[in-house]
Amino acid sequence: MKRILLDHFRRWGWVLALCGGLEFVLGWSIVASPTMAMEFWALLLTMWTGATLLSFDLKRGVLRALAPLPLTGRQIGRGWWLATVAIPAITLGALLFLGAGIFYHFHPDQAFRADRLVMVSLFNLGWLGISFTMVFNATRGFGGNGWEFFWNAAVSWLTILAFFGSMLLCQNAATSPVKAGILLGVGALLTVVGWVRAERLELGRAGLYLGRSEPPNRRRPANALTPLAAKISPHVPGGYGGGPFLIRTAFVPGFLQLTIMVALMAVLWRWQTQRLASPQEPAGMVAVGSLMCGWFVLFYQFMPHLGQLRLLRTLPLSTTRLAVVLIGLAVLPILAVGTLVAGVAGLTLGATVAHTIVNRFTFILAPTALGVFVTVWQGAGKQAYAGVILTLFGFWLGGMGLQTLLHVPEIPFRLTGLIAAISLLLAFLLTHRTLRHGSRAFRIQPNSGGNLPWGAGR
Amino acid sequence: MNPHAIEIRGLVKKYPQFILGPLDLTVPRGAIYGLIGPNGAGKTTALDMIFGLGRNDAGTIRLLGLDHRRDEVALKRRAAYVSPDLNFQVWGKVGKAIRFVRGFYPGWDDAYCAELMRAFHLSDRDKIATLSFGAKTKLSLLLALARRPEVLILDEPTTGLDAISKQEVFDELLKAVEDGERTVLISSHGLSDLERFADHIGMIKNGQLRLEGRTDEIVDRYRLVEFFTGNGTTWHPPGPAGLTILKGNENRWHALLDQHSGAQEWLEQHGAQQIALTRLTLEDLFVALATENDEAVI
Repeated sequence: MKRILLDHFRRWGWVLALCGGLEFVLGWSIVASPTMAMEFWALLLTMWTGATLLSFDLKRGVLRALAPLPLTGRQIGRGWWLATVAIPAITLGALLFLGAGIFYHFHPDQAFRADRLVMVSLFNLGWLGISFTMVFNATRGFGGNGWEFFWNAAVSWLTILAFFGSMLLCQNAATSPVKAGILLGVGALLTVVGWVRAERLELGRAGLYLGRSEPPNRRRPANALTPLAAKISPHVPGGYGGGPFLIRTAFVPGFLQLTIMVALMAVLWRWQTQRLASPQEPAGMVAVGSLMCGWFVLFYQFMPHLGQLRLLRTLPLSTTRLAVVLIGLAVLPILAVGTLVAGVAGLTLGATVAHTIVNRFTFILAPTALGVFVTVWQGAGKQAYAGVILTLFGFWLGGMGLQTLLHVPEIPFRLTGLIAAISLLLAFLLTHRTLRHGSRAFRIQPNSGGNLPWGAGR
Repeated sequence: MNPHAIEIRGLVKKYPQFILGPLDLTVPRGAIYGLIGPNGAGKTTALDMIFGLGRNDAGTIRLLGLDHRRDEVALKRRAAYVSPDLNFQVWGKVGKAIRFVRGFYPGWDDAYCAELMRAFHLSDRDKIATLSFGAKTKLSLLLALARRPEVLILDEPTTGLDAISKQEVFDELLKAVEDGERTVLISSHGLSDLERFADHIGMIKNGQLRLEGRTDEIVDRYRLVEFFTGNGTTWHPPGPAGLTILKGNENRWHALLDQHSGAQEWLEQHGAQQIALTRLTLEDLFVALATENDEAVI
């Protein structure tokens, strides 16, 4: 187990050091600006110190490499839990207090908000536990009997709900007992679930990361010594195919999933504020919602498709058309959801809210389209993940900066439209160029993680 | 009509630690051309360039007279690529993958597709994730063959296949090319299969084409030679061009001999005794050429 821990920290030390430094700054900032809500940034930092790193390792087949070594599943699971939950939680907490303490040392007149620091540290532990359970649950697969299937599905849904829900609930949670109670309760529950599951890691069941995404097809023996041709009545599927089929098959699930996510966020937001009638209130939620749509589409919808880029390149599609299709895969579901949400909001909440939604969803098209270029360019590896996150949050911060610069609560739609149009054009040109000149994305190996976002490449 | 299906001229692709080319390769129409070479020799890179999977730094590629860049779409309509790295998993089921690919080809042959599904034991309801590696290769081959391409480019199509599956794949390939109008460029490490199947062979090593010609002529041209250097003979390797020493033990030598080079006469003139020539298989020849130092043999 010690070697697993050392190996993890040796390989991911640079990410952990960077996040640790930022956590130190966060602690400093909490005391320096006591009125500002910082919990969302704490959540972002825990994302990159916890099981996300483990998911990259799993994607690259670490379990396959560990399986033949003289280690029990329990040792591996426990090692990972310590490396991605316990040790980061303790370290981040210590750095948070250190940053706050050093600031306080030089500014003793400021109030030392130990209560907020403790709450953020506890949230950190909860978020690390949630993300570990979410990632680790995937190693169990969805096989087994009905009860196991139900239990795995329930844990998966709970982790996803907890993860996205906590993004909404975390702002000012340190000062709200209800929010804090929910976050800490769910976080504690899933942290314990993660530990229990880590203790029971069964390598034999972890087929997902042992090179097979589902159990083998038992309908047919692996070596068909007796011809089965007579038993199989081949049916060649009819209907249209090609590019429109690709767009449709990617668009429909993407649109439905985004709609469910946005609806869930709206329900959570309504429950959280209970003041939906106020036209100004939804702006923050719309901003977070549109950002989450961009995030979801790029990581959960687009990146899995990148695995077939090699196939797409061999088909009779011109480079121009392929670039348009790739950008369309990401952009179309956002456009559709934005239109739907704006329509519903326009009817129920008024034209002002609808305008805000149109504006925000138009704005998010810009980083989404550029995110497509980044993933095609970098091939869905670590660099692509980092590039997409930087693009999304860069635009997020840039948008806020622009609002401050223009002294407006919202960027004018003309400017938003211009930014989106330029970004789309730029994304198209860059993607086109990368498809013609690059070779990195075409060398992606078929992943062992199926369609899961953390299995989308190497 | 252009007599060549594929013409590669001066192809260069540079990577930080590897340079492919300059590579000249000609595949005649109707030929089955086997591209062989050690791992990392540049075979897949060369095949990838034909389909625009990366941009060549120099040179031209023409397939059926079409430029691989300017006539990209037309070229891909008439050629098919089978590679183990092609990933269909995103489609979930075999039927969906078929439906997707067939949409690109007006000449898609449904009856032939059904025949191939039967031959390869694939059903449209099969989940791609549950297919074995070999079955995935068969799916890739099915998708390539059912569109009736004029040129079929196969990169390691038999990797991961058992003997029976390999036989099925070669049977279907032979059926596909029996009219003599289709061209196959196949990169494979299954040298015994290629020796039976391919009528032309090209060998790439370190990014350079080291050997090219008709399979029977190449196999016929080279011999494994064993000879002894007698007492008082002062001969030491290297010998003449066309003689590649494989191993030597005191006065007993094993070498690869090019029968067209006059190396046998040279050996006799320089006192070699008990010269024994043995016929080589393609695999023997490959091993000998792949392990020799990088001097040109053609």
